Amino acid sequence: MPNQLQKNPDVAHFYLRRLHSLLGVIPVSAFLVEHMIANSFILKGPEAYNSVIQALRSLPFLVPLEILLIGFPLAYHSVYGIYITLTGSANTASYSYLRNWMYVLQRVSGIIALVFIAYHVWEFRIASDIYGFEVSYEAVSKALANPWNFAFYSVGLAGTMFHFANGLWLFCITWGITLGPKSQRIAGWIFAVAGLVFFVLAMQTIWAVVQ
Amino acid sequence: MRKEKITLKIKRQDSPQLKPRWETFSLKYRPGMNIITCLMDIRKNPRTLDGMKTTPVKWEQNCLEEVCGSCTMIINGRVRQACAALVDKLEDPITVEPMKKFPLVCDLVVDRSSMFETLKHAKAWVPIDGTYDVGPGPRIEPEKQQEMYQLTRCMTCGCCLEACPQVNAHSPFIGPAVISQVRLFNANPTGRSNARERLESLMITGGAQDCGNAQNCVEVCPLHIPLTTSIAEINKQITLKLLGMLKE
Repeated sequence: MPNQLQKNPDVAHFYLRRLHSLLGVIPVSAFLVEHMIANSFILKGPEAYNSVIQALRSLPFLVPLEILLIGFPLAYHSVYGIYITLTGSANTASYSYLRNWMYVLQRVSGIIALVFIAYHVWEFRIASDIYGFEVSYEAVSKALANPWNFAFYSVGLAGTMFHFANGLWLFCITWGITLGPKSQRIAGWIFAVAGLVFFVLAMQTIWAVVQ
Repeated sequence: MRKEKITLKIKRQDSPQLKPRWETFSLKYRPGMNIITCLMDIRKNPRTLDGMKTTPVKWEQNCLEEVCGSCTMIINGRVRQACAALVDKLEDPITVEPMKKFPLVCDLVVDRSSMFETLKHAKAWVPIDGTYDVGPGPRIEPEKQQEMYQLTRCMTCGCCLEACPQVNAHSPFIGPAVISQVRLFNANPTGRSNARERLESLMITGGAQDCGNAQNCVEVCPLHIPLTTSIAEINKQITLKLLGMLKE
């Protein structure tokens, strides 16, 4: 509340909040786009997909890159995101405006994305290192053949894509790129289409792998 | 045909220490009634629906034309000014509650002085006091005057804070009203000399960055102040300041 303001004039808080916003786009969203494009090689068949996986997994300095460019930013964005969620108080019952619903959905989809990504990283990255199995078209196909896992992926992808698209819309306001209602409305449509395109691409990819 | 009686459910609380209670009142309908006239009618004969004698409901009022903000309360779940809440446009029974985001004084009276404190904190004024006459300030183009006039209409009623999901007891967010005032005084050619200080006052715990963009503020503002544009504009000024590109 505003009366708590002067009691705690912490400048670091500002930078931590803006860092959360920045890391959500660079590198987290950038990686998501790269990941979707790389995975879409599934649509070109097992050989094409396996060769892309091979190439990516043989990158020099793979583990430091993964930790610095994906692991740390994602972990920071998640932990700070949970803190932001805890400081909110949903009031859509009294004020059921579209943007107020999006505010709630951004937090709900963030939690869905966090659970989904944590499981996904375990299933296809950490577990493969621990148990020494190879991530390939066959392994992905086998895992997603389980209908429960497929349903979990569908929900997880929907949550992730919503959080990604609406997050980009929020980024444009947080950094002062879209100012007025008109530019925010245009940005809203652009990111809605982008989110939908990536969701359809992701669903096509996981659908193709189980066929 | 409008029915002859209207029902009012009012949340009562004698002091912040005591527990709140709900009291129901039945009033004779008159054309053109608003919530203030309802409260005045109750004051004339403070009896609840079941005939129990009670104390008159306490509330604040001043201008009675939606420009002072003192009668702001929650009517049928939505924050607004009681003077402008016409009974004809409200669903019966009408519920009336005090605002929840400010310390309660009694009944429908809350203490909104924290909003004034935030204005002082953000230096929301143009400093012109000195030992000699500094003369007239620079001229402001009509378009900019229009833009600034919108922002000057803020009456610190607190609707925007009340409707904001990011303003609550477990969040430090300062709220939209003061951010919009920083935009106003940073837009003033004389006030601009303190732009940096004002922006820095919003770059702390609970500052502009803590806005969650639920955009309820702009929906509930009774004076239609473009609060979300103000927040985005201040975000832009802060970004430019971070990049060292803020114009003096």
